[in-house]
Amino acid sequence: MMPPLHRHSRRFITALCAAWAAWTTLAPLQAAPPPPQLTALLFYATDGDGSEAPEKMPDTSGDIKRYEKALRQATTARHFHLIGKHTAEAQARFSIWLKPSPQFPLQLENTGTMPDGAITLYWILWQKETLPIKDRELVKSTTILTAKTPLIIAGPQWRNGRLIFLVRKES
Amino acid sequence: MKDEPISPQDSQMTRWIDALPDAPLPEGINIDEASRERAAAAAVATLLRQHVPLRQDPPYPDFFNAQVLKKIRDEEALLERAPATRQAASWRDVLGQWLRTPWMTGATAAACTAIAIFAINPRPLDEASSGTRVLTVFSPEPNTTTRVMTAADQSAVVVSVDGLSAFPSDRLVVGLHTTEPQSLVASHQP
Repeated sequence: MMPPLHRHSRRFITALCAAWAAWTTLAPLQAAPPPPQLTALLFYATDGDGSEAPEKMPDTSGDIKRYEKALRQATTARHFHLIGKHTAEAQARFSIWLKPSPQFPLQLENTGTMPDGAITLYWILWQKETLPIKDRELVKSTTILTAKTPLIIAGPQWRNGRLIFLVRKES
Repeated sequence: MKDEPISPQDSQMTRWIDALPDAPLPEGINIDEASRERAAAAAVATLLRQHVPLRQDPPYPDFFNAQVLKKIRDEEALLERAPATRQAASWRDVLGQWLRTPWMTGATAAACTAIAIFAINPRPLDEASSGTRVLTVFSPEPNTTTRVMTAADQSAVVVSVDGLSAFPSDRLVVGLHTTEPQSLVASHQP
């Protein structure tokens, strides 16, 4: 003979409560997602061959070709040369320094992650002078950065060209 | 009103009045009085037979027959629908038995928990739905302007700082290629 339904209902409610309690206990123990990785690239944009910028590095990752169209939005220069590249983790609520060149460090603070995975960044582009007391903030901004769309910063002129920075969130 | 039980003597007396076989007059009964009762009962019976017909036809035979035929048709229709009804009942029985199976309790609890988890933690939105956005931008340098542009192919957001003094040509911009982890610095401490 089958047991009455109300006995199963009691079992069901008990099992549901146990599963809920287990989930609420174990959910916070799940591994937090790793902090996002940010990369800063420094390009030298010029009409010439770039010989006046001796610190060029080989573009092994194809970054110039990848961003050439976007870089042309920032400058009318015909050629782009990669000078520096720096990748680091941007842990939430901490400031990090990305230094594709020690003369132009980027200070970035990951102030939070958006529901769509984008991060909010408070960043400052510095220019180091020969004397530390003369370090200058060139530009500062609050930006929501996604992995799909990098941020390009067209900075100061230098020699026969212009220094252009690119910040991207690694996916 | 409660029915009083009939005593065996009364029952035997009634049978004697009705002139049933094997019904002798009970003892202690006056035969004359009993005979008068018997004659009165026979007179009432004769009177009833004379005035009440033994066979009574329905008042409207055609209507009666039509109602009988209608009842027959209704019952036939019920019998035709019976298999579907029985099938529905058996389906409900099977569902009831299935719901009463012991493993069903745990399985349903797990399913409800999974649904609750998905309902509480909605799937993250696709980053592609919204690109990089510059909320604020400012240059402390004098005589500078900042412009925010989106590349024609939406592949990048460009912040152009115009009017900056040029970086001295006699200084070298040293390039670095680093992937070493950064030493973390507390917020707003350059």
